[in-house]
Amino acid sequence: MNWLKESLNDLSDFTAGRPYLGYATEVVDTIEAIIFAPTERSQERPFLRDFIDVKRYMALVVIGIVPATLASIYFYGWRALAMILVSYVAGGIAEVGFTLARKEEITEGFLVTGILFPLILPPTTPLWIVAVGIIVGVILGKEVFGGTGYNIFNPALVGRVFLTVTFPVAMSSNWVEPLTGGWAGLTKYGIDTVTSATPLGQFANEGTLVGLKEVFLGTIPGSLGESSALLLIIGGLFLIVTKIADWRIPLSYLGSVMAFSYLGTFLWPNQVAPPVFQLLAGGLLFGALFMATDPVTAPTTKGAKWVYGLFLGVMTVSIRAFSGYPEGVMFSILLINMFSPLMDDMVMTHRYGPVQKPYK
Amino acid sequence: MARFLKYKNTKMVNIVQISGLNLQKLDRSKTKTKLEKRPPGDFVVIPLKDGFGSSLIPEVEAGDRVKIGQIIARDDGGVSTPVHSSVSGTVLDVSFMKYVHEETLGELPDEIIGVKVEVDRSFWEVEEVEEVNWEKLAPSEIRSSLYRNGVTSFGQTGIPSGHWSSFYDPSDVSDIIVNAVKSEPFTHHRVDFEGELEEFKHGLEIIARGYSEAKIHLAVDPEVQEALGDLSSSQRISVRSFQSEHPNGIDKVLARKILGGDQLDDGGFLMDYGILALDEVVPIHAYGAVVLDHPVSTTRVSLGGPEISNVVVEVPVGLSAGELLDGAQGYKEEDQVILGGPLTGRVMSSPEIPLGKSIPSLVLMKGPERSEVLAWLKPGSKKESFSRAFISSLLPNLDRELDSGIHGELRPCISCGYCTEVCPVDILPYQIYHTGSHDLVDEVNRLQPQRCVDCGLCAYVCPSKLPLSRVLEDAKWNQSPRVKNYVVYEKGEDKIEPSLPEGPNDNRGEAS
Repeated sequence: MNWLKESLNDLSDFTAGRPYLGYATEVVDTIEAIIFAPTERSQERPFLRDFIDVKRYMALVVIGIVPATLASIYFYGWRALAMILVSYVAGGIAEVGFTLARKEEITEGFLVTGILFPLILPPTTPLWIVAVGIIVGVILGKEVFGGTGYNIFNPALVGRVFLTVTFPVAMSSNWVEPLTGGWAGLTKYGIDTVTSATPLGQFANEGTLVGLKEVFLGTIPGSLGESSALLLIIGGLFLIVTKIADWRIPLSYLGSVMAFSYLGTFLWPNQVAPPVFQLLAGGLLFGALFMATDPVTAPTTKGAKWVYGLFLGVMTVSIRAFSGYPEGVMFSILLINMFSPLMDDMVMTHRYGPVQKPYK
Repeated sequence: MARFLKYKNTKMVNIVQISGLNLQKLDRSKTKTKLEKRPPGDFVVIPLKDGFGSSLIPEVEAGDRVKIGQIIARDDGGVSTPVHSSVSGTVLDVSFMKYVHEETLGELPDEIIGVKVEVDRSFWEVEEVEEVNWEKLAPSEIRSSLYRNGVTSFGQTGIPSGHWSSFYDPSDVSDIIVNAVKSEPFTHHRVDFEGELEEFKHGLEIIARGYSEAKIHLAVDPEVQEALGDLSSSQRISVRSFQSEHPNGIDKVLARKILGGDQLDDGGFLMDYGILALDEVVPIHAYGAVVLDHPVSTTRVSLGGPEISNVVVEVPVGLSAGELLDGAQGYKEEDQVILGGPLTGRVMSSPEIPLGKSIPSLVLMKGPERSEVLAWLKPGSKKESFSRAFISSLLPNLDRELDSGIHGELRPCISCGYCTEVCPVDILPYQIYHTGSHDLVDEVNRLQPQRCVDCGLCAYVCPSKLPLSRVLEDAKWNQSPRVKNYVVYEKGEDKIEPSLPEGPNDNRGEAS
């Protein structure tokens, strides 16, 4: 592989500092950094460093979502894969363009956004809408704040909210029944639209409950990646076991949803769905395991994580029960994301006392 | 307890006692380290400063003949310990030199005077002396013997050796911690706890007698405890056992664990709290000084690393690090030489740095050998990580890749929280990084960076490869301009000037 490394180095040297080609240097360097591990030595203490880096960190999140991605191809055909590819390409261009304009290094956070975003879209979403959504999500959700690490809102959810508001029909009424049995979607490109409602939609509109077994296995209409509770739990457990996601947030979020929906079934039995159904249906597991645990937008201190999950649960149950939308995970995560820094700050005030201003 | 310095209105925080990271397990060559003696080469350069002691003015000139153990610099009025010649021979030169400062093992500018002595082998003599019955000595006589013979604290952090003789009254010392815990990989015990057990025990008793009002805590790791057996001969010496998990080997961590956590939250030096931390070699030297009246002329350095065989070498004070490394098996030119442990030490800039009393260990680290292809996608069976992101966490018995590579690119903080999980003193390094990088001094001070014990674990685990050790160090020293927050507690009739102890602290404060 030395020839590749050398030619990449040559290319990087050739482009560096030249008019118009200067931007390519960063891209070439990024490609080289993706393929070849850095050999830099630590020049200051500690001289022993952990092997984990952000690349590995983000790659593991992607691995965690792979089971649900495979299921989406099985349920909805190869079009699901096309949506993911469109998302990666369109979002990647937006990301790289923005970082180059800012003269910064291209970071790995997009690896995760690029796959999470298509998985929370309805399976029939036109590909151009996918592209619009991810570009808006990357730019308005992340890059305007300064890139990965500085964003306040989850970029994938920002893109999804943008689409929900801009293309309400495509985003909320074009659900299809997933294919099951035999090769199912593996032999098809896509599904001819058969409009039906998601389990949460059915409950909100007609008050009927879908069987828990179907919801658990995923043979129900829903967004691409969210349907199979089983595979989401497997992926989420993988993230928790590898310490990529913190267990406190999903536990507190899901626990809070269970508790408040249990209370709600007594107070408003017609509006609040029963706890286990709430837990498995819709995007709750996807949101709790892959969206709410995003370290950048979630609080970091332990106490704040518990509070964060608690508030997420209250918001989700409330929106599902009392608003015009049957699903509330997306809105609640975005809303509570906004309070993450505040929650961390409250923990710090509790722990260290308020900031002391010497000159008043 | 003497407690001179205290923050005004600072909220006290109870420390959460968490276990550290077992990094010693990375060191597979856990053979019993041998104690080797190394004679001096052609010459030695003796630094005239030790620990936080002030830099001394030499009493010898070029051309003078000196004998081993002869005092070549001394200032009884200041905070210092006399410096002895470690060899017999002729003084070649007295000049300014490069040296490291002990608290952080960082480099000091050329302001330390070094005495270069050419070794005269024909002038080599060892005098036989009568053993002194130390049990009949008064505490003050023991202390003066320790001072006269140059027994310093030999410690790694925060304990100015000069305090043995300094403006702190012995009655201010309420606790003495003898630190025999090794928690960093590739650093080794410098005392042969089987062969020198008698000296070690006697040395402890001597220290206990010299500081008769202080409690003596001997902190040991399992390895030492096994060799030590029962050590309950004196009621004033209590033995506390610790796992060899980093950062248990750090003086401040031991002080927190032994004496309770929240009382050390004001930062500063352990001596400000009446705690004296001594290295494990101090009892041995104390025995030699008091019983045999031997001045300290040698220092013990442990030599370790992933590629070299572990040894502990007893060298004359002032032998250059380069000379020691020349004889080390497996040492290569391109290796990084680290003064101290791999997590807390500093890189040796020049092989001419003399080995003073406060350099406990040299660690040799190699760099990553080659650029691995798509390393971030591989299972990583040999990659140690705090997270369980590599399959190595399922294979604890496999050898690990050990090098000083960064293993990643510098990235913005993603707030993963690993640093807060490993922090032994419960501060939030990532928040200090965020607020510190925006110069929010008040916010940084609120986060109490002064509690940091310099263990380096936050920077070790950081996936974004941020230099958190440096961030925290800067955050700590940036507090110096705010010394106005300190108030003086009067103790009896003695008034103590409201100033931080002299030394690098002041230099750093002015610079920032």
